[in-house]
Amino acid sequence: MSTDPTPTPASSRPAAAGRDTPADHAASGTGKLAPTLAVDAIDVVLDGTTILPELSVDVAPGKFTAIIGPNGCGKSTLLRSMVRLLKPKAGHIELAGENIASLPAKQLARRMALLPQSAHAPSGITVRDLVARGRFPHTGLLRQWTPADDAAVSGALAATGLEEFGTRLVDGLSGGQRQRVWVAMLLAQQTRTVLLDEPTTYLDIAHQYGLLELMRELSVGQGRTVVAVLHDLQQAAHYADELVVMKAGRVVAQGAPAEVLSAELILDVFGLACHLVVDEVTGTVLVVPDRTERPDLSAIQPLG
Amino acid sequence: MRDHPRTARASAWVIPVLVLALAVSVLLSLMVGARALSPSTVIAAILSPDLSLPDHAVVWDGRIPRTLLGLVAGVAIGVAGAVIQGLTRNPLADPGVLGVNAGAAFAVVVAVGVLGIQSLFGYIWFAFAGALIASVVVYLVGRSGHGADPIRLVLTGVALTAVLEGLGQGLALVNPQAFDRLRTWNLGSLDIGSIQPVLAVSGFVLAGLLLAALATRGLNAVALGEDAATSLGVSVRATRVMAIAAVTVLAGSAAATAGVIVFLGLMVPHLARRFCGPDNRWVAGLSALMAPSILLLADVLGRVILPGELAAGIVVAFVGAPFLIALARGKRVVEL
Repeated sequence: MSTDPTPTPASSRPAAAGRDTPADHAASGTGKLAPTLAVDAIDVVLDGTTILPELSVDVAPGKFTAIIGPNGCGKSTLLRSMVRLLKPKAGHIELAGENIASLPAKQLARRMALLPQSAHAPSGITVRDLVARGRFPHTGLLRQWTPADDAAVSGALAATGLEEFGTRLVDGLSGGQRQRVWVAMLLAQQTRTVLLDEPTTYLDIAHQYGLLELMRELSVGQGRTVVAVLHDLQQAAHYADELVVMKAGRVVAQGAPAEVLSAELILDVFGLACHLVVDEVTGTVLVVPDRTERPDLSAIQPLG
Repeated sequence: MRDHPRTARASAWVIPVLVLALAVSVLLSLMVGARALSPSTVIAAILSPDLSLPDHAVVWDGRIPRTLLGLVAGVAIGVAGAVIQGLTRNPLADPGVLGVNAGAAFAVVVAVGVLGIQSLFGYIWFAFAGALIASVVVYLVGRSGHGADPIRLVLTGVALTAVLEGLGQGLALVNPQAFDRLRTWNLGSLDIGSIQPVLAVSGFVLAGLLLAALATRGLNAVALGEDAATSLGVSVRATRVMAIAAVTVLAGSAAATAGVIVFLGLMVPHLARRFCGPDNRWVAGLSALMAPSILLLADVLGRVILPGELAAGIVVAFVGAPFLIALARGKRVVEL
């Protein structure tokens, strides 16, 4: 169903230029790859409400994993827990076999980066300077800016098509260009694992597909582990190697899109009656909603 | 200037020009006053002091202490302003927003009015302690999950300031001596006539500058949002605590010696950003050069503008207010 080329084993892929440990992608030796991220029975509680009850999920190395599910199902909470923005009350999360809770913040940031849903660009900052802030975990008071940092920033700008924009002010960019700047900052961080929280929201359709291609290339072409929260089921099914389907704080299904996605699942998880159509040319899955009940608007006054 | 996007560093000419401006301000501050002195007299007085000469006595007893205070308090206020604006991402924040000035003022009133401290500078340590306590109270009340939410901090600081000002003024009204002290202290003057208080706080100012240097790096990450900062491996809580400590120590030192100087810490970081963009390290660095120049020039202006003398704090305010208006009317209000 998916037109994705079969992903090559992580071991045969070109090494990513990150300063992270190769262990992030170490194979377990038996042919089956050890998960890059292993979430083990975490309980995440926000303001007294349990958002994720005993959630467990494994993220495969070098793959593009999409987390999908209805609003409020805990997708973002899961992603935020993975980068320690939220602390689970119980359970733990391992990155390549190491408990993230015990990793120094800087070391974790060299191995895993998050594109948050909301980030703020300081007024008056240039594109290049904002992207350069992605080098934070690689620099420090004692380790100053080096040509390697410059190269990482230039590379990230080139990968996102922003070479011409380096000296432009972020304030003057369109929404789509800005999102590319944030993605460039994420790339400048040079991590083996990349998390993106609803990265395609607010983008027009061309930019959405551009970003999805970039995420796929990061995994297929470069062997990075990409985890993204996505809203569009069709895009998730088309681009991701693996879907994690969530509902009410639980993982209800996980696997290759062709195996996981079905009309029954969409009805169960999203409450949307639909049928799936496979496009014969590309193999893309189209979600076609069945007619739903007419909304009852009798409570508001009809026009004149 | 708006059309030339600034990159992480300021143009090469900025720092030499600012250093030169600071040197000129220092020289003017040593020369100008009721008794005008030539540059050669000033240099002679510094290199081979002869305190029996009235000119040399003026330099050593009056001009040098107030110039040193202008330098130390200026640097402290400038850097504190840069850090507090970086911390709160609020273009209207000034170092007093954490209640530091109000805490110092209240402590001065208590020291003079209630405890009857008579010695000329006996109240300095009270002022400093008052600033520290006010800031700690604001932090404890305003703190939250990520080690103090800036909006809560500012609201708490404003509230505590109102309470302390009310109490302080109430106390001052029933005690004429305290009222007198509070009034002059609130004007913000560099004319302290002794080098001792400046030396007393300079160690704290150095510590504050060190904290600020550590905090501004982290503030560059926190400026992108708490999520982005954490993802970059920066501790939001540690950065904020360091920033608050830096502002408290710096603003507290300035308030204890020079009194309340408003507007300086508010406007200088904005001026700095025009030259170096939003990188907090550069904003703090340029502010450290600009603020003492402006404070010293304001003090010099205050000496000649009226037959008596106008306190530097007042001159800074009436120079600063039009600047703020110009800023608000500018092309685009700076959003941090």
